[in-house]
Amino acid sequence: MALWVYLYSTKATPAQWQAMAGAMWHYTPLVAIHPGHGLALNIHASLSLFKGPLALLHRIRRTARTLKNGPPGMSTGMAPTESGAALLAGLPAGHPRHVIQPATLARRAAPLPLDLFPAAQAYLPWLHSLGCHTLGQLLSLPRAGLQQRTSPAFMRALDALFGRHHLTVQTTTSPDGWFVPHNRLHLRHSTDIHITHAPALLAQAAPLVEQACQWLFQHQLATHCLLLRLLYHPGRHAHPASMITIRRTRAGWLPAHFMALLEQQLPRHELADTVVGLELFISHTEPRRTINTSLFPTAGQQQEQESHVFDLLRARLGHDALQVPAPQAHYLPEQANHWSTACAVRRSTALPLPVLPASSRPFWLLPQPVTLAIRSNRPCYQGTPLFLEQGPERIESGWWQAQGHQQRDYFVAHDTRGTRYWIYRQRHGHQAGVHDPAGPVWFLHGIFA
Amino acid sequence: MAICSRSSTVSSPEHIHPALWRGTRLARPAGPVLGTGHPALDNELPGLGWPLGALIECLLPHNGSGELQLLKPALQQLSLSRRIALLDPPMPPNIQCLSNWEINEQHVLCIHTRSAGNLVWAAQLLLQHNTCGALLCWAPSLRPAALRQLQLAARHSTTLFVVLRPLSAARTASAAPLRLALAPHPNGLMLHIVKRAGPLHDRPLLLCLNDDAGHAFPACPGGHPSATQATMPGPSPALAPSLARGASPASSAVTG
Repeated sequence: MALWVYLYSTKATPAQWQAMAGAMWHYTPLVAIHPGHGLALNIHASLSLFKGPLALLHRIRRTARTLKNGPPGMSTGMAPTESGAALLAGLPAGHPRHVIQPATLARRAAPLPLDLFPAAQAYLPWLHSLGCHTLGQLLSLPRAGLQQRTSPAFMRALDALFGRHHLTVQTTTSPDGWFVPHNRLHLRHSTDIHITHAPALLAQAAPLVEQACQWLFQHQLATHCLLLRLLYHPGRHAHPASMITIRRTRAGWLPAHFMALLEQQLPRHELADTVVGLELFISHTEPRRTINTSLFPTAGQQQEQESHVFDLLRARLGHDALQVPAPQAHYLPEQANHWSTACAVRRSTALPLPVLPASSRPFWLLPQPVTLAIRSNRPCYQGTPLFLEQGPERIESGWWQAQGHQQRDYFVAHDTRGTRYWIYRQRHGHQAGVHDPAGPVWFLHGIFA
Repeated sequence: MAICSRSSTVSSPEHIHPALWRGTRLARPAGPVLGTGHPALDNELPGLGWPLGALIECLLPHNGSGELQLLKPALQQLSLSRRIALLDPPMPPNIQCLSNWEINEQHVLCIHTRSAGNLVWAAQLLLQHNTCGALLCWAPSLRPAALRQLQLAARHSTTLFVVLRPLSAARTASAAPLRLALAPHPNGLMLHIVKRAGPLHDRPLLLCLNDDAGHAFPACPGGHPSATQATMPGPSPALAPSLARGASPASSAVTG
């Protein structure tokens, strides 16, 4: 027979339940959050360790009271079933809320109105018309007839409430399942010497990273990100601590995974003052992948190595150093040609690019079009006149907007050396009768390479 | 017998060691080779193609001299299965152009290093891990020692490793086993092999590159009076007189 404790509150936020579940993890690993109203603890396996149900209940209530960010106005219930404990915990003050034996639960629940049993809500009018107003009267109805006239879910809920079936000993009725705490690690290390030069931190950080990786290894975990906090010399003019984030695209658990990145990252980091201490945090973890044991290198291993190389490049050159194509569906070429610094180099799910002839677009596209000088009615670039070769190709956008309306006639042009350019003429005064006295304006937008 | 074998060795000394070659003939390739896609150029290169895992230097008068057109067939082939890294490109590459050229743009990656020291470090890292199928590196200023480092790093990889440098670098010595000087040409690309494992390349090679199946858009008429008075697409009667006013009758004709 199991024993459950239920913590009930209607005024708590999900974050408060998370905090409470983390605190209750101390008493039992079987903690389930019921969104909206409570927290169920299966304390059956913890009874002898904490010297019996009443002593354990007392400790649980004391912990719940003293928890800083715990839920307000909380009541507890104890029963041999999860639903039973929830039912008792929700009762107003004055009712006995704690039972241990199933027979006591049945006796205490018998006079309670049916409204307190959530599964019976759909059948309330029918049950009331039968003269069945309490849980005790519901239990005394013939089971076969009840089964015939209600749903299997209702019967399951009724059995779960009174523990008539032992199927629910290790399972919870919470839709979220058992609560799993976030795995966090926090290490602190005072440096032996005062450090004024960032690369010297590498040797000081090595034992911390080693320790963190041991912790990951013991728990069969891996992490994407180690946070290293630098503590500066204390005093009246102390600088606030600064952070170094060691980030991997793929979760890692070996010291070498992180130390190589830190080594590349430290020279870029400027110290505000002398460093006297280091703190290391791991805030998010994930289960470790199994190591490939095949003889020949697989695609996964190659990707792993590739992502390690890209992480190293990011660590030394900055997070925005790597760019991958992320074309946008936009009419203007400079806006369509978008390179993103997406963290993970992954396949985009964007629409396929339009199919155009091979020579219709230049390889180099200027981020912003450059105005071309006009000499004897001919656009000139760097002093050499440009000769039109192909075109025009009209690209327009934004006519449906009040602003940003662009009308461009693109041409392929070449200079006397043979280099080919992608230039366009901005069309002004497209309204009838209006003309820009400055004449057509030419822009250079791309270079064929 | 001994005299006979000795005389054959003397008559064909290139068989003594793979690194030896006759000055009048092309050397045997030291590693894997990838066809350039330009038969005229293939015939001039040792192993009939781009050497993989070797430093190839392209010397350009300016960006847009046809350097990417030259590499296009190789990049098309390599992008099918491996990554193509562009290190310090001078301008943003056009994703639409990559797609037009049937280069898998999902495999293309731009890396911005912002300093020559970081550039050499990044190139070495990518070569040592053999991460990319092709690595194109725009390096306006590189010391000869850095080039030597890159050449040594390239030998451990199967990467098509091209360093693009200004034409003025042709005068300085380089560790690259293959150096090409490019110049744009109205019909394509004028190419001069500055250095190769083989005889001196005396006359420049003209590669016709603009041989795509037809032009995308109508060619501007040859006898057009002015560049600013090119064909206007679509009816725009309001603009027609104003354009005629803006055009100068004295302007020269568009020439090819």
